[in-house]
Amino acid sequence: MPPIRTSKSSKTPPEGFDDLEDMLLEFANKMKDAGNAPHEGKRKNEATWEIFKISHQRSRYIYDLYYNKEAISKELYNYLLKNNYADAMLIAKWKKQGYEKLCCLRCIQAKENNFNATCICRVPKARLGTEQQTVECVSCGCRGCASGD
Amino acid sequence: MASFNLPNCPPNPGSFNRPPPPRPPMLAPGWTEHKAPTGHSYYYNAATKTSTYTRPVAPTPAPAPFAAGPTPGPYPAPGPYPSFSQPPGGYYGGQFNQQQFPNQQFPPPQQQFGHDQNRGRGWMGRGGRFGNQRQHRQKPEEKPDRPKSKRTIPGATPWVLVKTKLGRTFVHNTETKVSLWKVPEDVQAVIDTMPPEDEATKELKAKKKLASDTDGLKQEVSEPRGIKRLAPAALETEGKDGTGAADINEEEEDEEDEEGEEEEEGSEDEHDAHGNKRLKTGEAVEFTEDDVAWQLEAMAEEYGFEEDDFEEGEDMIAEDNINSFKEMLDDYKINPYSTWDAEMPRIVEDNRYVLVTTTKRRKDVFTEWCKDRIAEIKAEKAKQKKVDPKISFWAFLKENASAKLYWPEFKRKFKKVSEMKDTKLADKEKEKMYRDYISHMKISESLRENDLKKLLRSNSELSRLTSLEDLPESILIDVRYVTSPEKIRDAIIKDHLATLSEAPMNEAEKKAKEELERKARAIRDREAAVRKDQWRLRGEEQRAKDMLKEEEALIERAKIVSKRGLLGHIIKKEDEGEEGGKPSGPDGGGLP
Repeated sequence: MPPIRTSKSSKTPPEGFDDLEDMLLEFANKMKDAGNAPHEGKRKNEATWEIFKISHQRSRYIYDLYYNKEAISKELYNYLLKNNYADAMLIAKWKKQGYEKLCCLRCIQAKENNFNATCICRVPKARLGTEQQTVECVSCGCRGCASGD
Repeated sequence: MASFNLPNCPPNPGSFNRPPPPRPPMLAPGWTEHKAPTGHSYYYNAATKTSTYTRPVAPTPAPAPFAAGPTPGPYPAPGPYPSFSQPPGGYYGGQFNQQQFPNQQFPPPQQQFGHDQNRGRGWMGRGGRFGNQRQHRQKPEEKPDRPKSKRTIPGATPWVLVKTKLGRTFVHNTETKVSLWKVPEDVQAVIDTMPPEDEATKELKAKKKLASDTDGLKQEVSEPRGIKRLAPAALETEGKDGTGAADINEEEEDEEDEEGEEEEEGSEDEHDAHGNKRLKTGEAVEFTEDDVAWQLEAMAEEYGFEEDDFEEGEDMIAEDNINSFKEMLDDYKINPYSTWDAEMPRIVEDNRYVLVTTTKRRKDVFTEWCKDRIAEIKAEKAKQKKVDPKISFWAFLKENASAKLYWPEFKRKFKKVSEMKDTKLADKEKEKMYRDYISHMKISESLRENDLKKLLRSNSELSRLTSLEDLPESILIDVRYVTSPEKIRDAIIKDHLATLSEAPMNEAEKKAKEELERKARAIRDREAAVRKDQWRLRGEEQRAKDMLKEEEALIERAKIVSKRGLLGHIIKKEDEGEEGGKPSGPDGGGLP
């Protein structure tokens, strides 16, 4: 969660930040909405899924801008990471082969699971077997983030 | 849409031979009873061109069903069959490949079915054809039956023998537009004597090619053709009486057709025996992959297609499609800094959206486009002159700043204004500018005028050619320029500019001038140092002189001997020693 920027604490962000500002603001608003959304009718785990989702989307947005679209400078990218606009640890995973679409870091923490295995969302769709029901992982609601899918 | 209907009730080929059950001839006048190969009987009114399953009852006995005694030429039931509406019992809708048939009941037989003469002259396009074929291969049993090829019957001119895809045959009268599963007897007799398909058609083909070269242009334009494919052993008839009869509604007679008929007549006799044998077997033709391949090859030859013409398609189209997809993105002014998910709803309605087929591919194209677009934007920005954010903030201060407000108050008051939110200027910078502005506005106008003059004098970027509009930034962002009284500011600047040289000093001149200045300063410094030295030396000299004088005076005094003689000196010395060695004045010796 990026800190709230007040005019008092503002250090001028690097050049090019204006271009992204709208999208970042949109993400911030979505995040606010997700935080304020009622949890009635949701399962215990489900409450945080939306937060994870938006956080993931925002990280992906910045990752894409820097690595795929080459739209932002390294300076600005570092600024965004430093200010927690994107999850640097998650992005670090995305750079690794096999983790290109990783949904969240908890899903690859094998030790947190019963059988010391990664989350169900890491299993490629092809290997899930015949049952067609949608899989939603407990930690972040991911429906599958295997690279091959 | 034109519907091209087979005879009204052509069901599965197996049931062809079933004889119609007897019926009491109690039909209303004008109605004829017909038998569907399924065994249903239905009723057709030639006058109203309607058909029905329910028996139209009339007091008078109905005319005999036409199957009983057909005459050659126009069939008992005159006029076109009711083939547009779904006929009773007919399970061929008008749904297949309608675009390939003209919008009347029936296309001319020659063009539809004469694979030999007309093939390759008016296909809708190979995409459509291949598409159909593929579909056909996948689920052949679901496809409704359709006419596939046709032959003219040499002995019975208006009748043509039509073969369907499922291998059934029917006859069609091109003049009366009547199609019948049941072949009239006299026609059947002729059919029985016809040569088998292949040889006849091959000869026909050669002939027709020549003919079509000369006069086939008209049909080419107007007639889209419905041939799917043709096998070498294409037209076979189930020639038994009353088995396979079908109906096609045709509307045009083709001249080429006539030629074909004549041609065929010649070859009729040779193949007579063979033809009969084939006809009697009545077997359906199986289309194998080879047949299809042969067919395609023949098409390609006719068109002059190369092998790769068929393969080429996809990539080329994809390229074009991607370009139009990008154009669409341009048209909608999509923000390249946005995400696919955010922008997708805006473009999804556009026709060009589907040009790129999969969403994954679309995303890729979108990313690619964003990359290019951002690069463009960056290049544009680099071209533009950078404007110091201070200039706009000065303008903002000029309008809003007042001495009555301290900075925090001012900030609070204008915190929603875009200039105050602008992050290019740090907050501290803004505060400093505000304070500067306020403090400068407090001093008198004449002093501010002098400040401006000083500023102009100190600036080296100005020249006589500088106009008021393009003053250098170094001046524009200076508080002395901003706070100078507006009324006389331009005049002062103009005056100053008039005194300047043509061009602002360039680098070399600047250096030379600096060098000169440096030298002058060095000389000045040296002089000052020398002067100081001299002054110090003079002081020392003076002091030395003084000391010398003193000593001389002492000696002078010593020389003066009073009445007491030398004793006086001694006593005096002692007194002086007691008093702390104070030198006594020259006259002091004579006192005590």
